[in-house]
Amino acid sequence: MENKAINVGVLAGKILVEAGSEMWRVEDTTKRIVDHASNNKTEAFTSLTGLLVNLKDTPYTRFMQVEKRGINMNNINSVNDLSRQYAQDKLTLDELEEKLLHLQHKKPQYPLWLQTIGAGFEGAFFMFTFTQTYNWEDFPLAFFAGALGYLVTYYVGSRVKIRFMSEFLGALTVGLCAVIGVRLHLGINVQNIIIGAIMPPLPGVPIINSMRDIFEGNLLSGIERLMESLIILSAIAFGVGLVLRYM
Amino acid sequence: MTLYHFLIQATFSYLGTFTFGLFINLPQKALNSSSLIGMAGWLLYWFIFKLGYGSILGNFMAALLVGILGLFCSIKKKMPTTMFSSGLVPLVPGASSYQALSAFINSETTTAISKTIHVAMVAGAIALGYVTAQMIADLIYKRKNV
Repeated sequence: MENKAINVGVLAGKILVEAGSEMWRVEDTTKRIVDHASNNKTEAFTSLTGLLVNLKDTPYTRFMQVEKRGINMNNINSVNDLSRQYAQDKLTLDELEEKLLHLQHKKPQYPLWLQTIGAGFEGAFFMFTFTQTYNWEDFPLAFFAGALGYLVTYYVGSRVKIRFMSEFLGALTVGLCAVIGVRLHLGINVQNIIIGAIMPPLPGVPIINSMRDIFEGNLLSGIERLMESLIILSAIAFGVGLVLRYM
Repeated sequence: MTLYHFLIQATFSYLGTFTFGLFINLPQKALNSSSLIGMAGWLLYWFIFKLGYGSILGNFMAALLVGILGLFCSIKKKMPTTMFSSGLVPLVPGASSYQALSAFINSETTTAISKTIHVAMVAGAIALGYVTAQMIADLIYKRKNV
């Protein structure tokens, strides 16, 4: 029983880290699941690259490695719901494990084409608010650059093992689209288009989560996440800068 | 600042946050409310900025508003607060970062460094505002699982 509970708890924590949750939620959820099953005091060590859970005064310890990280808000919400249902005895441990395993292999709820269109529109809409300009002529090009940049980031990220390359190539695509589009007279202002269309690959949610981790005392994961976001930012700046300098 | 500009800012910050929610896989229940929060935060920032109080205060107050509204929504809808942190997306200092980058490329190092420090201060103001909202909530309620 305890052995099983600790497995399920670590699995829930792993799904949360993979979905980009804050660290206190990972610790909290893991502890809640294992405590409920065992009545023992649980100790948990969580970081972005692995989780370690231990039951006091027993030989049970589990470690689980986390290899890929992204943002998937729906999974955070589902794991949160499931762990609460389990703590209120609405689910048994076996049902919880089954649902968590199902969740781990579930596809994102929005299909890729919808995500791409979303990324394109995000770029186009934020171009208006960020730059405080009202050039409707730039709207189609900002949409196209944002969508293509997101697609490139997504495909390179899912095929290539080297980190930070996807963001660099995505930013390069956005820059090239903007500059070439303006040269072909499809838009007017390169600067505004790039400011808008670069929004989708920016690591906004990880930076906020890293700040919250640091302020809540999870120094290790906060600094890990901040460093990761800063390197992604540098990769994006390098991609855009290359286009601006040599085109 | 005309009505036309106001309407454009309001609808576009709403739609921008909404479309951002699509590719971070936000649950459908949270999409509308997080976009409304994003719009409220951006409009507050925009007013404070237009009134001439500068962007640091504007970003701080807007992030505070986003944090407080996010807490209300998370209690009402029984969802984690992270779901509503996408309301901070309109506040990202995109234009200043671009100016810093282009100053670096044109080797105007002094401008570039001052712009970079401005971006860092804005980011700090947003983070501090958001965390202050959490702190107020912790003082009022004992944090359970929101």
